[in-house]
Order: sequence, then C-alpha cells, then structure tokens
Amino acid sequence: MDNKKSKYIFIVLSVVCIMMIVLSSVKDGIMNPIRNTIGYVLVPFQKGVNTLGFGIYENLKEHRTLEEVLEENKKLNEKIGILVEQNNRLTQDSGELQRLRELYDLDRDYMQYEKIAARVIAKDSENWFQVFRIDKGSQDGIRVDQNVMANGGLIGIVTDVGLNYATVRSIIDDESRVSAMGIQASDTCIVAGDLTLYEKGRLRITDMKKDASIQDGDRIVTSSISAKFMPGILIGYAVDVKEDEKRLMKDGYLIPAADFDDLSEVLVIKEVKSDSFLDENNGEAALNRTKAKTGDTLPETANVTAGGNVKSSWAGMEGLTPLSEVVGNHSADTADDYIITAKDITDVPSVTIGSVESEDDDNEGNRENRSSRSSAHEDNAGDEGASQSRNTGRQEEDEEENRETETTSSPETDSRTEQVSQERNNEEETVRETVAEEVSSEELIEENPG
Amino acid sequence: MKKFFIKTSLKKSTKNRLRILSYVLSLVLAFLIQTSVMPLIPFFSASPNLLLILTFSIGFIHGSLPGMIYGLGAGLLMDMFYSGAFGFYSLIFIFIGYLNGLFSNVYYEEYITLPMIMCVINEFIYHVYIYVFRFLIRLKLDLPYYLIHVVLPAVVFSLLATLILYRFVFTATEKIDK
Repeated sequence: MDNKKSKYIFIVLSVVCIMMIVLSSVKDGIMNPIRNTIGYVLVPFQKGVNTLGFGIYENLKEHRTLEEVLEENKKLNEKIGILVEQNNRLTQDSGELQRLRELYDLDRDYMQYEKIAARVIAKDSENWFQVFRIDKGSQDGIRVDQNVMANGGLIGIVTDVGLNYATVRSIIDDESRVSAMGIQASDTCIVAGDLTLYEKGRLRITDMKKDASIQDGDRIVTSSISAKFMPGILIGYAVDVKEDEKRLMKDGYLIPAADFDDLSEVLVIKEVKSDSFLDENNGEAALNRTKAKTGDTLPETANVTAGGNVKSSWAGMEGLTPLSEVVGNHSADTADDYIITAKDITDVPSVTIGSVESEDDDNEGNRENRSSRSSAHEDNAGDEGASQSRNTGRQEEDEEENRETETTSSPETDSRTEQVSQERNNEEETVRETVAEEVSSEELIEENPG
Repeated sequence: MKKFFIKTSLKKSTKNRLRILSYVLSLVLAFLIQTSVMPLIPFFSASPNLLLILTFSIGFIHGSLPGMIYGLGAGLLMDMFYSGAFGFYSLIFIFIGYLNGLFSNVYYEEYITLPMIMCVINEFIYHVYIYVFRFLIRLKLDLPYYLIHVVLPAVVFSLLATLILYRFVFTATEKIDK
C-alpha cells in the first residue's frame, strides 16, 4: 500500500519536474521569483560560511616556511625588474597613444570599463561545470551578460542575477564560447572552454581562418564583433596554433591570463555589450567602435599621417580596396554562416602586398622558424608570463632596429621584425586599408547589428 | 507530510517534528558546505556530493517517500544554484531518493557494505545523467576522459564521505527514536 502510494507520488513529482524543465527552457526567467526568494535567504549564509572557511584557509596559509617565502621573494623581485622595464616602455607608449587618440577623436579608453568588485561566495563542487556565485546582485547594479574579470583577464559572464547574488559561468566551462581576436593582427576566432583541457589549464581556440596571422604567444582579446563580450578584454595567450585536420581552418590552444584556481575576488564590468548596440543606431558609437577596432594598426599609420587629414584621404581611397574581390574569395571557403568582418578584409591585402613588394626569400624560411618557435613556446608554457615579456621585449628591440635601419630588413631578424618592416614599407598602403576598413566595417555593422 | 504524521499518531508528532527539523537543517548545511567551503580546499580534485549522499541515505533508511521528499529539497537547492533549466537536478534527486527507498526492506542496522555499493551506483547514475543531458547532446564524446577525470574522483571522495555521513544519518535516526 505504502509502496504503491510512493510510486504514484514519484510519478507525479517526475512529471512536474519534467514540465518545469520544459517550461523553464522555453521561457527564460520564469523561475526567477522563486530563485530570488531562496537566494535572498541563503546568500547571507553562503557568504558567512565562505568567509569563515576562507579565514581558516588563509590562517593555515600564513604558516609557511621561511624558505618558501624567500623563494617567492626572489621570484617577485625578478618580476618587479621585468615590470619596471615594461612600465617604462608603456609610459612612453601611453603618451604616444594619448596623442594619437586625440588625433582620432577617440575620447574613450576602451580598456577602462567601469567595474564593480565582488566576492566569490560559492562554487560548483563537481568538475562537470565551472560555475560560481558572487555576492553582488541586481541591487548592486549587476545585470545578465555583464562580463567578469580578475587578475587583468576575462573570467566569465553573468548568466543569472538575483537580488543579492549573481551566477557567473567561467570561460573555462565546457559550454562557454567567446568570440575573440588576436591583438596584433585582429583575426577573429572562437575561444571555447573544454572540460578535457581544463586540467592542463588550457582552452581551445577554434574557427580561426587558415590565413589568420595569430601566432604562438599572441595576446588574444575579446572580439569587437562579439554579441556579449565587451571588446578588448584580455583572455589569454595563444599556443600551439596549427591547421586542423581538414586544412580549412586553424585551431590552437589558449592559456588564460586569469588564474582560475584561486578565485576569490572578481571585477564585474558595469557596461553590457547590448547597450552599445542601442547606441549604434545613432551612428556615433558605431564610428567610435570601428575606430577602436583599427586602434592596433593606427600607431604605424599615424607616423605618416600625423597632421595630415585622414578624412580627406578616406573618400579618395575608398575605391582602392578590392572589396568585392576579397569578399568573393572568402565566402567560397568559409562556413556558410560566417560573417565577413572588416578584419578579414584587411588581412588579405596586407599579406599580398607584403610578399609582392618586399620579395624576401626569407619569407618561407621564417614560416618554418615560426613553427619551430611554437614548439619552444610549448616548453615555456608554464611561465608564460616571462615568455610573454621576453616576447614583447624582443619586439621592442626589433622595432628599434627598424627605426635605425629604416627600410632595410636584415635576414637574421625574425618574422615579426619582417612584419614590422613590411608595415613600415607599406605605410601608405596601410593607411589606405585602415581607411577602407573603417568605411567597410561601418557598413557591415549597419547591415547586421547583431 | 507534517500533518500526515500528526494525524496518524500524536505520540510520534514531536519526534517527527524533530526529525524533519534536523533533516531540513542538515540539507541546508550540506548545501552550504558543498558550495561554499569544499571548493576552497585546494587539494580536493573533486568534492563529494553531500546532498546526493544524504538523499540516498535517507531513502535507504526510511523508505521511498522520505527519500523522495528529501531529494526534492536537495534538487531544488541545486536548481536554485544553477541558472540552467529549472527542475533538472530535482528530477534526478527525486529518482535517486525513490530508487534507494525501494531497497529499504533489505536495510540492516550497522551494515555498511551495502550503502557503499549503493553510493557507487548512485554516483554513477547521477553522473551519467549529467553527461547525457549536458554533454552528449552537444556531441562531446570523450567518455573515457570524463570517466577518469570527473566521475572517478567524485565517486572516490563520495565513498569517503559516505562512511561518515551514513553513520551520521544512522545515529541521528537512532537518537531521535529513543
């Protein structure tokens, strides 16, 4: 009798659950009132328990041996040296950047988003998902789709908001996909979380075009075409970039800039990407955004155009880019739903011009060098911070060398130098391209704002 | 539930009230520990699913109905925590509570081997459920990897936790019964 009764109850409860699953997946946010209520009661407890646990853990951590501390001190001192050097260079750069920004009417610094600090109070205990909860909610201005950062890198995105809590899905979660681009060449790609790579501390980079120039060690930032992520947030560094089995696209791995193991405080960016879509209707924001997008190619071009009127050349150069040709080329070999961006259009001409004009035999050899360099990078994957700074250091050296030797590129310099020199050689072309890009990307955005 | 017990026997009412109270408390406490404390401990590659262990222990000791109700509570808490489809966890927890309740007639006091076996089976069902509905439907087919890196650590840690928690539920039941 009792058995039969519980059987009926079981069936009823299961049906109710299945109905709830269907209902909540069809209509988003229908359960929010219930979630809010429970969250309102539980979050203070979660906060308390977490603080307690964290306090105990910190206490234990304090009792480390002197040796460990000395070792760490040594490492930190080394790091300071690198950072001071980097800082000096960046200060110089930022002065230049300021000037260039004024030149291009870029009044907004795109990396400086307004942020809210929040504390991680709960995490998923199982390894299936990488989801955590923070102690700030809608009453603190948290909204769904806000981006979350920590240690200067992207952490995740807010998926669910209650009154005093919010749930964040990290980018290392298996279901996470972030539209990204390389900061050097701004080829777009997708950074996807993968559970099978989680223990190695890596993410997957997919959907990169075959001729994309993203190399090992390149900084990968959120793309400006992403629907949910604000542009220009550092995600991590690319490693092991190579062509996929089908030889149609390139893929690789990404080492995230943020440390996911030791998350306790995060920063939530107040602005949501969809806000800027609303602005785009005015046209003003769209123009700014496209300019920001071209921001990384600007320093090269601006040396030439300093004082020159960009807008006047704009109209004249419009016809120079074989836009239709490029679009036609690409749509042939890319996926059907692939959106062709302004970046894609600029990449192709710069490559062809480079190989035609400089006619360097080293070009081939350098490509091989690059692959050998990639294996070297893998070894350094552990201390990528150091390798990165070394990388930028080298870049700087190369650039200086270039300034001295102007256009003559020595065969010894690596491919990166060559790239720089090519860019310098073709400064004028780059200007034209940038200008054309601005025009075309503006058109593109207007066409499909999503 | 409460009313039902009060009607059936007035003598048992205080006992049951105490029991329900202690179970609600244990439920909330387990949830808080599982989500807010366990992830802080760095050497745990996986943490035991305390809610699952409590659900099946109660189902096993007290029968299907209490198991299901406890499972519903645990599942709802899990559903609150995640932003996915609401009811996803409730369903599996109710199922596990019910399933283990069916075995309550073979329940012997002080007998720990069977609960351990049940723990492994339950963990397995639970993880396969998550895998099928959250990973397989996205064509993530790397099953051996998931088995070794996700399911196995979870099962091992849960077994350890079962040793403690099952005893806890057991002694709690005994004390209340006295």
